[in-house]
Amino acid sequence: MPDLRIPSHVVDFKLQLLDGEAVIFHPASKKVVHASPSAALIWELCDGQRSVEQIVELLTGEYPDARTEIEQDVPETLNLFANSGVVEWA
Amino acid sequence: MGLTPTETELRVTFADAAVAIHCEDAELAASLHRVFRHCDGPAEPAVIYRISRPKPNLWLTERSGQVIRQDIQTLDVLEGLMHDLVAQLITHTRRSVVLHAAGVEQNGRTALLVADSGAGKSSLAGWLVAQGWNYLSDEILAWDTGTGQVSGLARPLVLKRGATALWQGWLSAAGTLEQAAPFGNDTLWLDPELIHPGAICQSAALGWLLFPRYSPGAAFQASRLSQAQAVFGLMQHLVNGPNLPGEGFESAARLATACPAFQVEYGEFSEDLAGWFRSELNGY
Repeated sequence: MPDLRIPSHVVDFKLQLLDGEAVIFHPASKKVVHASPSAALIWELCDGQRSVEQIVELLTGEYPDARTEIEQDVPETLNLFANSGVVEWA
Repeated sequence: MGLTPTETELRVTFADAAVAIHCEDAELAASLHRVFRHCDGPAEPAVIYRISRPKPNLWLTERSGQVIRQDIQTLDVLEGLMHDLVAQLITHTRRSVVLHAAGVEQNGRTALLVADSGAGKSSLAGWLVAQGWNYLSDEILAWDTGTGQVSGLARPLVLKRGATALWQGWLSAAGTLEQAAPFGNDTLWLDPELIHPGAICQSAALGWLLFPRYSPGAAFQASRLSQAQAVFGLMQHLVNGPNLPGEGFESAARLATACPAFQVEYGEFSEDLAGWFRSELNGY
């Protein structure tokens, strides 16, 4: 079942990219999230247009050997971002 | 709000913020002077407390003309004042990043022990003072974003009464248990100079960001944190974000990139822990 939810960054978030990792901060809610390099990549692909499924496809196109991990990690990471208040579902 | 003829004034300074305490009771004023004797400074007070005793069993604490507490016990006055005063100093610090952290210094570099209340910051700071480090604070530190210097609220160490046996062994020849003043029901105030005479350090350069985690029985373990992990940790403990541009996020990132950061897990004040602070940390 394709995951057609569309993640987008919350408005007014602040981002620090440090050695491939990211820290995402939302000043209004004071929420802060640390993202590993792979989670930071997923974050960057959330443009408010692509669905979860499309993000999975983009990443598996780049890393075909890691399809199983990507199919598991992308929705998990996005759910974590959403629960932390730095991503919204469009 | 000037002093009345029977009042004495004490100023408590932290970074660029200060409060004044006006007290008409000589005994309480003497206690306050003892508690805050390392916190004097030239800053103009943003807040004035007035402590009076209109009846033998009633203490009134006012902040800038408003009654904020009515207490029966002197210890409750001190405890309530300490909590409120720390909050006011944080609120009025505008030129520095303020962290919920203890701080100790050696060779001009500060180790910032960034952790929540109750996580053992005071005990770890006291133990490090007993190891020869100097003392900045057991509760809040300020990193001046202009000068890069770290300063602290050098109040006494607030130690759990239950841990008396532990820190009694830290006291120097100059210090005795009787000199630790009661603070609230479960804690004691211990002047760091009773552990290590001359231990107070007003400010020093940034050295290391440490995120200590005490777990009873845990083996000592120290691991280097990435800069992003350090920013994340700092944002959990940054307490004056509303006073800083962008809620302090960029300042926290600058701080995290200015010095190495470690997570330190420990279950006791072991020789491994002492050795790491003594030698390995200095390698970074």
